[in-house]
Amino acid sequence: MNQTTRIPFPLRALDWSVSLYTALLVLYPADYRRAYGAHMTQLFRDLARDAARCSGSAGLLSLWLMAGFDLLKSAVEERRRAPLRLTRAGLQRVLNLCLIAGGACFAIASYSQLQPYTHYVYRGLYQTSISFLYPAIVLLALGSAGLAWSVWHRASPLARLMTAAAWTGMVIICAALLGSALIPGDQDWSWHLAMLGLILHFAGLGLFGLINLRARLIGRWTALPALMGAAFFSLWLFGLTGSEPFGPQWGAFLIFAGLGLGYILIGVSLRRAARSRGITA
Amino acid sequence: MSTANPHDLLPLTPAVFYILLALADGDKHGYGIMQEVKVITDGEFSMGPGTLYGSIKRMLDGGLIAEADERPDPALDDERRRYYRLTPFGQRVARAETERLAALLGVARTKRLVGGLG
Repeated sequence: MNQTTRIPFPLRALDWSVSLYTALLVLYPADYRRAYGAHMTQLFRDLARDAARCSGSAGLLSLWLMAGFDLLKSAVEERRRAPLRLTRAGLQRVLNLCLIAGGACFAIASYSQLQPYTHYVYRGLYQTSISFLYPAIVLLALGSAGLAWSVWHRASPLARLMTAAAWTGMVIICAALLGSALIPGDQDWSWHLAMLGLILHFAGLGLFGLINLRARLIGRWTALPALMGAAFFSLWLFGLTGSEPFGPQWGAFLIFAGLGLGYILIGVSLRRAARSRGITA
Repeated sequence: MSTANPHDLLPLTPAVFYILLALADGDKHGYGIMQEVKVITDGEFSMGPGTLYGSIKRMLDGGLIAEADERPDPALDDERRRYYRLTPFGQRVARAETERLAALLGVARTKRLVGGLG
């Protein structure tokens, strides 16, 4: 009698599948996950065991094709149905993410400094990169508010004033960019307004950074805000503020890219500090 | 007992109707429901854990099903599993959906889209 012997299915693959499925449940809203997550995992484990027993690896793969798509589809559906509840901790986390995303956009926008064309005439990749400046400024305005909020209850009055100045500076830049987009004609005023905002922002950030060196208000990388303030004002010190109208400006590129990276690191530091204080869910 | 009109919920999604059918002859847990759905649809309809528990959540909210207090066979079962039962309102909804589908089938028969009238 010809008896087929099934190769024992590696239990590890089954365990990995269940572990991966459990990890993917993070896509669901937290309340839903608490109520049904364990049951979904149990059900997936049962289905995976059946699939492995009947068809081995192919069965498990087939289950993943069905259950993976089902998970994504139903997670989107549950997210759509879940009521929007923004707690204080949640809002701070969102604002810190804005700082990180804004920093990334700012770093991408800095690539425009390498354009080989006449200053302010952007083409191709340079045009694409400069278009990241608008979302960068909006996100950094939100992120600066998050920075002020994160340190507000622990900071001295002077440190609070400086974070407020940094935030106000970004809001002024937002207003300048919005004005230049909406109001036709001579744009000089918006440039001057944006410069005023930039100076206010980096003066506030830099002075806050000096206070932060001792007070350690943002957790890790305590010297970052001070360095960023100094880096911005070094644009004038080294004559990198557009006095050279043609060709790539490597110095300005490096400084702006570094500032973008600085925002990202401050955002990461604030998130870590919040997590260590236990205020993030 | 729910005073809502069962017809307000019609037509049901296939997943919800199959879950109601699966629970019509007894309390079941999630895996049991899936097995029953597989049997009654001859394997034609499959849903993943996400669709099943999403539907169960909405059916619990709507009063179509409830968590069962008693376990059919506690000795043979994992106590972590949660059993579900059909509520009287869920039975009325299932009946209303069945009647709706039967009426639809009648129309299809008169138009000779399916067999039955010769």
